[in-house]
Amino acid sequence: MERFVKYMDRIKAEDELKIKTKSSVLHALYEAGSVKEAVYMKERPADQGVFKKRILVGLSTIAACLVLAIGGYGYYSTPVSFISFDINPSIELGINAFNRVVSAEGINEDGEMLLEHFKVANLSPADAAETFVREAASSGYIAGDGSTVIAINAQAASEEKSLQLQTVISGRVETLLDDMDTDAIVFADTGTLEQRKEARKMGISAGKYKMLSYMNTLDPAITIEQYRHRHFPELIEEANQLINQFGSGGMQAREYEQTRRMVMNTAREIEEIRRTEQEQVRQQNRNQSDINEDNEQNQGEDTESKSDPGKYQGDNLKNEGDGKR
Amino acid sequence: MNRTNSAEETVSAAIEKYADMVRRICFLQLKNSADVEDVFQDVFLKYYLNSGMLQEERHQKAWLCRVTYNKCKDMNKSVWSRRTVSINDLEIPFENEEESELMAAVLRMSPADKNLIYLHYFEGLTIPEIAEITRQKTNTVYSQLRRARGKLKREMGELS
Repeated sequence: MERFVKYMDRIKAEDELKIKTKSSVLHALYEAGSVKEAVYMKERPADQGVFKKRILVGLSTIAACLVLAIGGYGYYSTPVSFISFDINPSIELGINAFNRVVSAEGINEDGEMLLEHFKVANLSPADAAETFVREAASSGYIAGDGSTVIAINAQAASEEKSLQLQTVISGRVETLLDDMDTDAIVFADTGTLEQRKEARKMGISAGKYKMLSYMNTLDPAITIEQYRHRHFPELIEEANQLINQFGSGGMQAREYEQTRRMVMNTAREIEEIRRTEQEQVRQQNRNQSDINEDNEQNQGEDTESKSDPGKYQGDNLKNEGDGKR
Repeated sequence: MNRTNSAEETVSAAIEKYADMVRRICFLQLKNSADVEDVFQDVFLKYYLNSGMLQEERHQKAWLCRVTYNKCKDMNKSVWSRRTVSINDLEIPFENEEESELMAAVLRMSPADKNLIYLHYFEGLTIPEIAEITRQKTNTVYSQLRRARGKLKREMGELS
């Protein structure tokens, strides 16, 4: 591995990368109010256009106020996109046109109870997601050993917007899990507003509805009623088995392509975790049996020496005899 | 010392000290420079925000290794991740063909195996230290490293 070390030793962070990084970090801290303007301005490269950005932010705030004044509170409080979360607590957040959370609903009993502990109104979707996951973790819903699945599903007016929303949310949740030093699997997917409507009629989350709809395309015998109470890890494993059995799922394959990929990747992760745990148990058993064997051997040797002291004395006499010759 | 200077100094010092290590992890895990920039910005911002609890150097290093690797994993999962580049587009030239073949074999390994190989052989971390960083049991890391080494040996054996 000497060649590997030699090669890797030649890899260095470029000066431009270091300068850019320092500038971006200080900029982010400034935006958050952590670093005084003087320091930030000293570090800012000429082309970042912060003043332009600040003016644009100012304009959008004015625009929001005008909308409120003209269109009224009703417009502000109307969700135009949604995110569902299934850990075991199952909740749905409604997001308005200004990218602010304006509704939060528990879809199952655990979800309702959890929502009583925190507020997400007017937070950004990412901040709200973070608050929810933190609360779920501190209430013991996330095992921390990688076995928990956090299923996230974003539904918006277009596929592109759903995907954007889902990416932002799942990215924040993954980052939060790192910060909390907690392992969990994030299963992120998108859905349509139509699917969300159907899901809510049936009293399940849009994420679960999409998963069950997908499973139904693979095996028409699967109904939502049958599986509505199952948890996501079970659904994922079942879906993965169906994929192995039935393949791409026929006519609706394109609509469920992301779901299929996520199911296969997540099922692999779940299997990996299970295999690792089993190997650890096997290794522990091996270690224990090695230790037991050693102990038995040691005991055996002790017993032998105690029961036949003459053996060693006889050997010593023989040696002494040899020495004298 | 006021808070303002402290932030700038903390960030500068961290970048000076650990940028090369972060760059190496990115080299093994990512495929283009735009993703590398994103990871750098994210990792060092988080480092500053958590610097209060990272007093000792070994904690700082362990934390950075873990967070950088996880961030690279996120980048690779993201639908916005850019297309791959071939190994011939890499900036660091090879000294000879053996080196090129070895690095190509390493880069073909899984993200977890590449990370293990790097932490053990380049950073010189022990198995228990790696287990702490990757949040796994020591036995698991031992088995994974043995398998990764075996795979690499077999592949280099086939090539030679």
